[in-house]
Amino acid sequence: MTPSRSIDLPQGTLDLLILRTLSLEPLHGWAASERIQQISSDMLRVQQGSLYPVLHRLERRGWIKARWGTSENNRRAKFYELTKTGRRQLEIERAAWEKLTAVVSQILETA
Amino acid sequence: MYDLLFRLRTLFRRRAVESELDEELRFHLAQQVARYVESGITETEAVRRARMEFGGLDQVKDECREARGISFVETLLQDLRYTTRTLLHTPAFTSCAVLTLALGIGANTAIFSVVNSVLLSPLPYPNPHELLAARQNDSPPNLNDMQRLTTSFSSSGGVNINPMDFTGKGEPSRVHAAYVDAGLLATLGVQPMLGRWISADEDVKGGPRNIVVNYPFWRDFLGGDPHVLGKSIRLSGNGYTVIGVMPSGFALPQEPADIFVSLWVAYPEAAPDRGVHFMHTYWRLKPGVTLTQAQAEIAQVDRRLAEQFPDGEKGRGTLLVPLHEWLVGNIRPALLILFGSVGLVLLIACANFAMLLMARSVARQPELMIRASLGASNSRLIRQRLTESTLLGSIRRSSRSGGCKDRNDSLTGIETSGPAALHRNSYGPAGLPVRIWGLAADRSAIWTSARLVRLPWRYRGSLAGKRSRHRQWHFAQSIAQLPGHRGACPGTHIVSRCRAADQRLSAFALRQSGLQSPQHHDDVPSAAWEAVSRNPVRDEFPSGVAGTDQRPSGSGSGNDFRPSTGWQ
Repeated sequence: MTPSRSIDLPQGTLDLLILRTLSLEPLHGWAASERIQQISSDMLRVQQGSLYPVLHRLERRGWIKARWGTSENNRRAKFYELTKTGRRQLEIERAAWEKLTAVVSQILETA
Repeated sequence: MYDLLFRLRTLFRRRAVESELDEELRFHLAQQVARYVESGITETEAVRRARMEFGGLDQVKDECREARGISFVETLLQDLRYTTRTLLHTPAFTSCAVLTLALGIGANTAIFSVVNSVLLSPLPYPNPHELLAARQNDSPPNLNDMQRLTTSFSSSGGVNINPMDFTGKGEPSRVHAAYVDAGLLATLGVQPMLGRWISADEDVKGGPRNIVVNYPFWRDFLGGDPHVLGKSIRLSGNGYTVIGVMPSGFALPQEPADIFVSLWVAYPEAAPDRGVHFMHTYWRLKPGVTLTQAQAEIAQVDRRLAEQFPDGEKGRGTLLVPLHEWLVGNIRPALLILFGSVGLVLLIACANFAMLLMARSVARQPELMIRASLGASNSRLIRQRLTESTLLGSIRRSSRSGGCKDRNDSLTGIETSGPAALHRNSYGPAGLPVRIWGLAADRSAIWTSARLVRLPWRYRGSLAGKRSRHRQWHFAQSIAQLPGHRGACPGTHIVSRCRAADQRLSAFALRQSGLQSPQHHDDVPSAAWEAVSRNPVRDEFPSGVAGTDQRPSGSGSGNDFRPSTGWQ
């Protein structure tokens, strides 16, 4: 990854990305960070460590829940999956994000 | 709710949560290292890269703990441990601070309890605002006429206390007998717990020798017998039939009484005498009638009686006052002054406490500076100081409430230890309301004082924290002065000046209030008594009941009449 190409993530969007990533299937922390990195084609610079506080915070809010399982290479790993409230929250945040980006780009184009 | 459960789990299964966190993060690093090794990087280099991309491991853990809501409690525990250690290291400071607050709060609690039970809480009778007392005593015939000729009152009753000798199973005892008329209980609006009150038919010359007993008497002398009704007891040589027992906690507004008998039955010789004014009378207004209307009506009756019986009733001038005012009117200013004084004492105690903390924070400046320069955050330092002050305050409070509980017991002990005769012989000056016996250090009082006190030390705590930050730039100098250069620390002379001013204020307030050591509950009634005894107004009514035991018989003046103990 080349620092010149990648951009910093706006504050608070990591929550949304994680919720979205976990909405497809339960993942452990490393896989979630890999998935985000891959899909964004390494354009986003997310410090891997900063993922975990967010995961724990989302767990505390009840949006995701954790359980221990076995990883692909047969190691014990903590898997996170979306809860019902988490799914609802994802929709809310997604709508908010879309509204925000739409407004921002509208302003950028017309003003 | 979910959040709370989550945090509780985090708190109580801390070790499990910690190891899980550790395992989770290690798994992540291992995965990342494996990924790099797969792509052909040497293992050492892979570990280095993985770590770098991950960020500081301890930092991440800290952030996770914070995200789980664990760190607040942990910091608190840490601060508490630290504070306990430092406080134990400085026993002189700790005991000074605790004592200062204890004295201030103790005094306030004591006086507030008295103020609360005497001034604030309503009289223990239904619709107490309708109750009036007459400033002058009167005779039973006059009372009858006044009842007959007025319409403002729903009822009225009179009482006079006399000693009687109770000869039961054990030793004979002297008890306080209330000579009453049938209307008294209806006026006060209280029903007997067992049986009934003396009826109007029985309240006549030659009526049956019936008696109603008060709760403590029933409990202590009659063994709390639930089947006591109809039994006969001997009083001063005569047999009386028990027809009623008053409920626990009942007392006449002012008179100590163990038993109640009809005046016409117990003392028929005195009852018909119009000229002998020995009964204290209570009146209950009809709903909607004002005191002024009632007073006007009474004045009319007074004039009629004066015309009718010019020999003895010429100078009549019955004055009715609300019962509550009659009971506490004279003590109110004294009590309020006392309350104000102890309020000042509390303020001074708070100021002293703040001074102590301030002096301590000056002495501890090097320590705070070291902590600050080692990276303790501003909020962390303030939190630590707050914890310290709060802990100090709590020690004080728990020690205080412990003391109060004991005292509470001893006070209720007085209240319940036995019939009036046993413990009221050494009565205070006549006129002190019986209510004062009901006082106890109620919890609300303790908490009121405790809350008042919390304010200043909260403020003090945060101030100390802030100052430690502001002084960071002094760190270089101070560290050089560490061994014993405290005098040079900034702020020391401010503290000593504040202390001097505070001492002057304390001396002034103490001189003004004339308080010696108001921290004992026991002192309070006596202080109130002193205040009352200095106030001579009550002496207008020498036929009060409380003085019965203290004055020789027949010492009353004017038409004041008090039967001697030997008349039976």
